[in-house]
Amino acid sequence: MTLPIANIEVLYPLMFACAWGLLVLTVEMFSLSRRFVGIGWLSALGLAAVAGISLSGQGAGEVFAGAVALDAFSVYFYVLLSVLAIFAVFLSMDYVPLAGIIHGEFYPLILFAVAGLLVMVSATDLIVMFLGLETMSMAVYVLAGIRKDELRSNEAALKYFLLGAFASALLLYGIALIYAITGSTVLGSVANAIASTDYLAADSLVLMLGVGMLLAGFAFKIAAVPFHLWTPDVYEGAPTTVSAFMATAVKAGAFAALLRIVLVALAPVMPDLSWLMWVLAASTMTMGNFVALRQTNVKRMLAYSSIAHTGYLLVGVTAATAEAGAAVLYYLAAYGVMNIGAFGVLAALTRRRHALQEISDFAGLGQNRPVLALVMSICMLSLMGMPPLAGFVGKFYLFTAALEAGYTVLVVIAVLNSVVSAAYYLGVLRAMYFQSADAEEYSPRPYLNFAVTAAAAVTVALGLAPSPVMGAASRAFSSIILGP
Amino acid sequence: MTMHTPAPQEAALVVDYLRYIPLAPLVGVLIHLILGQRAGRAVTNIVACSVVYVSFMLALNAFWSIYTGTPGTVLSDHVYSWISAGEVSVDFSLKVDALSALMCMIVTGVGFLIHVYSTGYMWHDPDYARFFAYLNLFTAAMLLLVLADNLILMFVGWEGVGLCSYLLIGFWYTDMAKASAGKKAFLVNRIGDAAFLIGAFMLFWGLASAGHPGLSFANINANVDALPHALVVGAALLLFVGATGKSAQIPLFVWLPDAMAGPTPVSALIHAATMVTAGIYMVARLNGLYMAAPEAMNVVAVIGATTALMAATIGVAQTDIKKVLAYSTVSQLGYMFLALGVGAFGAAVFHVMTHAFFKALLFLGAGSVIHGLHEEQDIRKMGGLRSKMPHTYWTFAVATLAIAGVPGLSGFFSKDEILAATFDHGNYGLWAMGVMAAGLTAFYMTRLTVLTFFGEFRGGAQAESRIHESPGSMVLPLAVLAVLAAIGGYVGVPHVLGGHNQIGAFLAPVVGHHEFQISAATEYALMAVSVGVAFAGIFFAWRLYRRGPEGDKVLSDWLTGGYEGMAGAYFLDDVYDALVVRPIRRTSEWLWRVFDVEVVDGLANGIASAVTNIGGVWRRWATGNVQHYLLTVLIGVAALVLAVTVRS
Repeated sequence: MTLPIANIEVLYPLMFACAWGLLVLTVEMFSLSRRFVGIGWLSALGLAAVAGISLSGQGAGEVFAGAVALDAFSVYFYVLLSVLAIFAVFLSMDYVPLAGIIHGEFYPLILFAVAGLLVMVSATDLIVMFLGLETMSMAVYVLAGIRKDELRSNEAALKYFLLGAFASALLLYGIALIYAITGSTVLGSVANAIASTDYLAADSLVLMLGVGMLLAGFAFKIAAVPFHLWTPDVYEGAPTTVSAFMATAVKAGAFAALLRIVLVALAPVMPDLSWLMWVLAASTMTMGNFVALRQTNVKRMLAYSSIAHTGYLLVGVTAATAEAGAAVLYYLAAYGVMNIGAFGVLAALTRRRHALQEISDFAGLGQNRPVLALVMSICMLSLMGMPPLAGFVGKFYLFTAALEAGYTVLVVIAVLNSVVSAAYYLGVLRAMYFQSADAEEYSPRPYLNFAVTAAAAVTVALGLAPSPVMGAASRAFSSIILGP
Repeated sequence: MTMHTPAPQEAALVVDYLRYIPLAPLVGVLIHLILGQRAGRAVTNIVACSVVYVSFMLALNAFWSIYTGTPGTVLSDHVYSWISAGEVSVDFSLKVDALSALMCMIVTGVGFLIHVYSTGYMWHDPDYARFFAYLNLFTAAMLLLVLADNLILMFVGWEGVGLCSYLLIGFWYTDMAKASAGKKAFLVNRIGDAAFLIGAFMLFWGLASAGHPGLSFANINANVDALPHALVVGAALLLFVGATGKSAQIPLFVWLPDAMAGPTPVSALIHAATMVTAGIYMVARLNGLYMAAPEAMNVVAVIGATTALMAATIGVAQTDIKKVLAYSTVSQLGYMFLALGVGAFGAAVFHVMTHAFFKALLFLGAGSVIHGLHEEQDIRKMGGLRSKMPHTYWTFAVATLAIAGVPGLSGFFSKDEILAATFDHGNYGLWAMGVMAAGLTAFYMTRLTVLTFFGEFRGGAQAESRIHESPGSMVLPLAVLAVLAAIGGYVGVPHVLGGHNQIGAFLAPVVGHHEFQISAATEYALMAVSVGVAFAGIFFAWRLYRRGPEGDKVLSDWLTGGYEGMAGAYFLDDVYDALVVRPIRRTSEWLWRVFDVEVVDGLANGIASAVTNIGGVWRRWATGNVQHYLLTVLIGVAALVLAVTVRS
């Protein structure tokens, strides 16, 4: 049977993710266990298959008149997002029963969120990108508030929803304005229209207004200053493994869309905006790091750390060269695994329905849980930028690319920021190794332990052998397709 | 004037065993981690020492190849290509030339002795497996630092030794002050490291745009002429700031005295013999860069001489046996930087070596005293240990005479070469500062030895009955180091004394060779001055302190207010607290108030009103911070859109 759509293979990974989500949802209805471990396995399997299908190279190209493209860039993110989601699923397989989450929809929602993210990163049409973003957001709103009896979780969901809706409106408005000037929402046509006409002429105000709105919408999703305020509250209130998913996969997806749309499609306007990105990058990392210094709650500290890392990533966006783009892609992978590890250790320390959150709760971990403490140390040191871990190599790529693009002062600010950040990451190490506490009894948490150990191992491996991932990132960034 | 001939570039001899030099201690770390306390004390001790011994033998092999090979022989071991960014690739490559061969010998040789000593020193500590895991990890990182053939790989070791130093300073964490000492050391070093990284990035960028991409030391030293002069000076200065962090110089030396909170073998290994010399090693490694930046060299020399003098004055007024040695280390490191600054790279490395011998010996001796006195560190409560701990006394005395610069012992030769080179360089002011510091060194070291080992015991009869000499595992390393501290200088006997300065000739292919322009007569005169000053220091200290610590009173009456400043290290900690720490804290506080609305308090109130339904949340929304957030977002959007549109 041949379907009437040319290049339908492009959509296979996407279609598979949606279908598998529905399948998991159906199976879950008949699930007898309230721990949902089998459902977790099923979801992880589906996510692995998504990565496998996208890697198998079936059908590269575009579909639906250039609305979705499966280029190397999409494949890079398909694989990255699947891997991060698999990590989140493994973390959840122990965490879901511990946190008292009694809703089996948890896993299908992750799959639907991933499906939305896949659309987002491979969309070559602004409207399609928006569809993906909304699909993802809806799933994540629900995930953030899935502990219905938990006030904090509800509040997180509501806050994220209200502010997220606001950001969506901004994005949509920006898209409309861009459409008004260029007459298209397909990225290729938008790019051509901007390049062929003198965009600095009369219509420029409207166009720039649109670009500004678009940037504000993305700034919200990636948690850049001053659109970051939701982040600590939401990360703190949401179930820990959902926070892990949001901090890593959702941020990666948003950055992917930002790169494809702003850095490539809107490339002609970028030189005029680089100073603005400069300011965003500098203020985001500085704010994130300085406020993180004050946190005693580890989840909030990690939230501010994730804001600070948005700032580092924006250094790459500011530089806007091919090297910088590839560095951002690499950094998203490095940042993803080290944060999965950090949030995962938090989840692993959950007492019955109560996540450990204060830095003082880490006291004595080096003695009582040496492996978890080692994992946490690796993640903290990597976030701090300690060589030879992934975080250092990522910063090396980002900062050298920015230097080559001429942003010396911004790099100096970034390096000084990483000095400040050492102080709060060190606080966790200090509690683990230089304070003692009585050992707690924990129920066995095999999946969590496996996932965080794997995340730490990947953090080390990505640091010691960055070339394969960096090579893929380079190829991915240089292959970005915009559609007709 | 000092002459400097650039190092000739020789083809590298490819070998594949260099990687095992840092790898062996790393294997030890893994064994300690996996087996932990289960292995038992004996197995842990044997593993910890034997992995360092393996490194030592491999290093000896490499050293022998360099020593017997043609001058300028280089061994290299390319493991793999680590980071490739554009046209630049950072390799995981190790290199041994004369400089790194010598450093490797110091790190593994002295390191091995200190490992052996530690088996005795830590015999009663329940956490010995963790201790040796850190100590082995430190050795691996230090060897990586020394063997790296490029700046970025060196930075891996550079950060690694800092991390181990942090973990070991806080090793006895039951004392809160000790844990904060570790944090201080780490953060002060991070400031230096940031400067190091920015300097490395500048070179990276500069060399790439000059068409010579790559950060290998050979590439930097060879192509420094292709770079703009301002960039060379800037990078040299920034890297030097990194060196002042690791090697405890003004302005970043404040962490080293606090670092004495760690176990004493750690002070000997990390904070005297090896890690703190990393900054000197780095500058010597980059001698091509520094020779091309005379402005930076002057800064290095001035900072070095000032630190040497200032730390020596502080050392005079300390009462903690380890604090005296810590400031002494800062002061001696200052000498090394002074040597680097006047272009006498070989003399600096020579002093690194002799200092490693006598200062490690002094710290281990101090550890033996502390061990024998059951954790007493106040020299006012010691005295008369000469008869009770004879082995410790004899070895400690040798080290004291060596560091004081008594002719014939190792410290005399290396310090004399530095002072002669400074004079030869024409900088008489710096020379005078060096001479003064030499006198003070002889003074405070004699004070320390006299107060500890001579006179009557001042710690009370009960403590006196429990004093004991240390076990063989601790005394044996003392003896070996005492021999080295005595005769280690004979590899560098100057020509005017009929020697051949073999170490200078050995290092010349790497760091260049300098010939004194001053006459032999001047050299004799300089030598006489420094010997005279050393004996004067010893004499006055003996006069003042042979009757006990009352000498401090005499000194403080004489110096009036100055003595208080010396005892308090000129209150630099308070200055930094006011200038750096508190402003950062205040900024953080302010940003936090503006941006981080206290949701936790608000929530606690919400629960108190017992509204746990959605309605409660809605009400909180109506009164709570979502409005605040939306307002901020709105302002942000307005600013962003305004910024975008106004610009176009």
